[in-house]
Amino acid sequence: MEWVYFGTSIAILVTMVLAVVRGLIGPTIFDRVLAVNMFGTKTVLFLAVISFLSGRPDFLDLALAYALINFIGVLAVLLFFQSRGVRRDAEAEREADK
Amino acid sequence: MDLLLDIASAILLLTGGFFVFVGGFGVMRMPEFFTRMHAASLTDTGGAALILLGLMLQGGLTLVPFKLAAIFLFLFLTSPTASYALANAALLSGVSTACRNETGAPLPENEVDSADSKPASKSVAKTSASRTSGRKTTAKQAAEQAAPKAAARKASKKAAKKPAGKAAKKPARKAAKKAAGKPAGKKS
Repeated sequence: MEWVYFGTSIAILVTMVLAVVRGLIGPTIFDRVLAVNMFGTKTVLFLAVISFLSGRPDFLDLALAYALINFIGVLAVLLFFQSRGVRRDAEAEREADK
Repeated sequence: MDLLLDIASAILLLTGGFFVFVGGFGVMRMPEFFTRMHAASLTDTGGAALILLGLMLQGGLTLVPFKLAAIFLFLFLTSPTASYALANAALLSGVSTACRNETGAPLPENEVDSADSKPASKSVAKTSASRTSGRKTTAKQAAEQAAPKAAARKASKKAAKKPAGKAAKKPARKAAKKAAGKPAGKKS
């Protein structure tokens, strides 16, 4: 079974690298947020697979905690940028009114 | 029985790894933001479900499958929420949903760069106007061009579906009042 875990973790690692590249080159801020969210989800999966690969089921607790933190973090960042976009639209309207 | 479980979980894990890889590849290769979100949500549903199910079959009768089930449930509650919030925020700040322009040629990149001080609704004006005139329009002119369009779009969006987001309500109502005289653009 080891090679199956190994292959799966390699696939997840490649995807994490691709997500990081997308986060670095992403043209909009939302591409970067998407990449960070994806990276976090893949980290959860990677920790789960690694806990089986190394035979230490304690890692699953880390995966669970990481999932919680990832979700809260993404939502906080999104709230910040969403309110910024709405505020900028309002400013553009005010400029257009002048 | 053990062999059967091993084979089933190997199939699930390898299929999940394939899904995850394809999703990552799509996030790199897709032309614009919302299609990239589609690719990323593929890894969040197909990849995560298959990998976690495959690991659950290997856990045996211990606490491990329950922890994996907790991770599974949590991921399936949160990833649609995060995707919804992401798409909502992107739509509100005016990320262009077009990956081709009027002549059918693919756009090079999405032009909204929210990291800087440019106005967000610029992309509407930019794709039509300044792609031919070579970036001569300043940010302010582009904002003046784009603002009525954005207001009309918001008004029609508000009319189309009532339950808008909480943060969107106030400016949308204001824009709807303002753009009541203008012809609303597209009503889906």
